[in-house]
Amino acid sequence: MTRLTRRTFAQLTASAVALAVSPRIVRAEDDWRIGFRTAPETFDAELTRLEGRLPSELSGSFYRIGPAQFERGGERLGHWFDGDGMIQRFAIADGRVTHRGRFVDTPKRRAEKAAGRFLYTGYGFAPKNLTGIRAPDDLNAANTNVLPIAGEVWALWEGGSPYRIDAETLATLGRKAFDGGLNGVAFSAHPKTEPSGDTWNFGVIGKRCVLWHLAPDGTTRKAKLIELPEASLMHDFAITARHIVLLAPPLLRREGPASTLVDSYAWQPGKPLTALVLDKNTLEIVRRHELPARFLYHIGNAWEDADGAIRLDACLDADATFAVKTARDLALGLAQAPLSARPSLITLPPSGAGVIATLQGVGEFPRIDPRRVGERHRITHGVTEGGVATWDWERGVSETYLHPPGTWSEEPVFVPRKGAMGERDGWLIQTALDMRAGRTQLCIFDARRTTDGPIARLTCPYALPLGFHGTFVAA
Amino acid sequence: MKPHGLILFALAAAGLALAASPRAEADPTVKITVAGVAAPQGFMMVALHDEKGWSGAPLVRARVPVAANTVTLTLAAPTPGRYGVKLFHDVNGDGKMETNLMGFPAEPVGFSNDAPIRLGPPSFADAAFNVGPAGAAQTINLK
Repeated sequence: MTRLTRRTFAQLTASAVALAVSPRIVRAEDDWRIGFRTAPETFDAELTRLEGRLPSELSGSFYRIGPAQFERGGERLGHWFDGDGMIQRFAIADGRVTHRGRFVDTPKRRAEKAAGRFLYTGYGFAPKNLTGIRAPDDLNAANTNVLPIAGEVWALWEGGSPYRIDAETLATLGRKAFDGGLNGVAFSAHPKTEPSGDTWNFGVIGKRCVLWHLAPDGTTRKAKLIELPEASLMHDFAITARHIVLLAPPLLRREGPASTLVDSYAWQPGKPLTALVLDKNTLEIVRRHELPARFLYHIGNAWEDADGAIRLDACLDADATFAVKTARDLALGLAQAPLSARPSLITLPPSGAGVIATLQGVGEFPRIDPRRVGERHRITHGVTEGGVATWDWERGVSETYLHPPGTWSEEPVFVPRKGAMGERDGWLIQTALDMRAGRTQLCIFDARRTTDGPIARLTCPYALPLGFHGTFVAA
Repeated sequence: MKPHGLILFALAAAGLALAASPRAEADPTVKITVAGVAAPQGFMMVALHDEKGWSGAPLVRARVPVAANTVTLTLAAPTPGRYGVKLFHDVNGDGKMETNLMGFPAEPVGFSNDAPIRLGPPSFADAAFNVGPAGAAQTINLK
């Protein structure tokens, strides 16, 4: 693999990538609101084949999670991120796919079900009749990501504990109670499992940030509380071989009353996007870089170059409109907005500020080959509006495939072909909501030829609520 | 409304260590019923504050063994007036409120008026109640 040179970086910013800005896929006649409807208590069905055929080597479970409760007692949920989590499992074996969906059985869900109304404020929604909370887990919606660990699947939220889920039945086994002072401490929805099998994570509430290092059996190797220079709303982070990278956008805690978490933060475009680099051994901040003001949710991956520079890719947005407005409009069924985040490569030299190089086009939900976490990667896959994109950071190009009109596509997950080492030698699995048919599809792509479209497309007999993140566990 | 996530529980530090309050015969008495005990063990650690000392030292405190799902006790207010009660269930009986690394209580807590807590103690205004010459009664549900 060639090293990223100055020329490649120039290409990244300037190259005439043959990618038009994604057309607006959602048209007036397409009812995107079906992706934001309350799900029934359970889903169970076999998928039907629409086109192509499943690769015989592809066998395992594709898990996804997202909010699935959008109203109670006549009140509409006011922010997408606050809906109770439902975990989905697509079991792929012998050329067949079966789907199962179950809500995560949290105390929040039980209490609100019993009351027949929403009780708790979360990220961006404050119901009419609020109930008090002692600790963040009281309002844990377990709706953001899934982590396969220790033979279980953990349903993750970002302000509190993981919920342990049976990998087969999707039954909720209970809240993951870490030992001692770590019980109930924030465990973000974006842990990183490195090739060794160890998992790293962060968790943040205000300026208080906990850094986690877990063994493959889910026990804590170490954890440490640090104080951040500023209280920034961070959703994801990255690791390299030796470092942890926190990217803190200038969505910063403000003074004064606020009815929800996100409203207690304010976008401050005059302040930088700050990268904090921590040593994995000491869990202390060793470097700080300031970048132009950008907002972000997701990071693809980070790695360390021989010259000491850390490189990472992330989907960067001009501001935090999605958090404060779009995600509210979506949950309320008021409006949807075109994707605006841009796939970008950030370089953090050993000293100095840092550089952002941005690809053309828009994208979100970046995912890489899971065997390369913390190591150098060249390829990131992600969502582009109504399609799937593959971003090549060495060539500085983006390839996209667009689904038929009327499709809302979700996060693609890369599954390596068994025994193959190539970064694109495997499949992409992506769910997509066919808004016209009112059905959720499961699409399998050959990751070497994303632009050719799916090699297999199957459909559920129903529409699933649009979700956030997923993961594949090979059989 | 408070922004949540900010405020550490001040309870632990609030000097809820033991010492039964000396009971002055003429003083107005607050009868407290604590409900919702999950584990009948350890001690109920209860403190009576006035507005000035709401975030600081209590005027009166009590430590009562917990042997049932409900605990009743009395606190003697120094004079009639407005007061608030903070309490926690010291389940492991070590005399202090357990918190996790981020400072959130790991043992059940409660406040007078069942004042709502939003990741921090309620305001005095929400927890305050009148104690007249004939005393007052409060039922507090553990959270």
